[in-house]
Amino acid sequence: MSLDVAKLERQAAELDAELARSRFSGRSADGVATAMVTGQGRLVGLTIADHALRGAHPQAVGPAVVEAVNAARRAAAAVGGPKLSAVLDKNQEWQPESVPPTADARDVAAPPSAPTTTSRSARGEVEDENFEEIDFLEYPDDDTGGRGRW
Amino acid sequence: MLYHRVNELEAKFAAFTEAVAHAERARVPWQLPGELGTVTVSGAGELLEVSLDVDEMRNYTAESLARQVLHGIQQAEHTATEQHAATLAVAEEEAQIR
Repeated sequence: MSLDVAKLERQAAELDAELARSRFSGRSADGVATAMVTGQGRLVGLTIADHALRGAHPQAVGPAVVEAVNAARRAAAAVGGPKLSAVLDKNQEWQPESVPPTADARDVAAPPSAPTTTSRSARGEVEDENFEEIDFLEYPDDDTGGRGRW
Repeated sequence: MLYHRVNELEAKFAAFTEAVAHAERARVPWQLPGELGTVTVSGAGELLEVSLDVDEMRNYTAESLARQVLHGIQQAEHTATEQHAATLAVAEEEAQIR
């Protein structure tokens, strides 16, 4: 079976376009920050909970942002990686998603959206967190999923 | 003659590999407006740190702070991408076998 370079290039371009349309979100464990990335891992949205700035631990915001961004990128990689493998593996047949771009978003958590498009449901979910059970002084060293993207 | 040529190729490949690894380990900081803080990404594009000044943060709403941090991360990553590409270009040039 010979390598069909033209087909490979076409499928790679289609996958790239599909990943660019897709959206994935990730949230920090304390609910302070929520990030949205494309399927390619490009950061396109970030929200920070209102209470985080006025609360007792505003220093938690920075680490929460890092955690949220890396979680979103992990979610994107979990979907994009196998699709890329399917394109590159000549024994697999990859087909582009047939659903419209707007329905293509796979949100891990509630849609956080960019600051200008924050949805009511996303804000509500973040603000409903029970912060009494969260240790703000302890940050799990679990950012390994946000590995290099290029 | 061939032996020396192979050694030369291996040395250049090792130098290229080290240059790429060095570029990816690099830390690329981006200063947020005023004294708000710093965003740091790796040369490989990983978001490493968002350091915010707690007192300065109080001048922002959550929405405006998120906007500034988002912009800072995007700018830091853009800078890292450019630096990484430039480093690779130099390493490739130096690895040319003449």
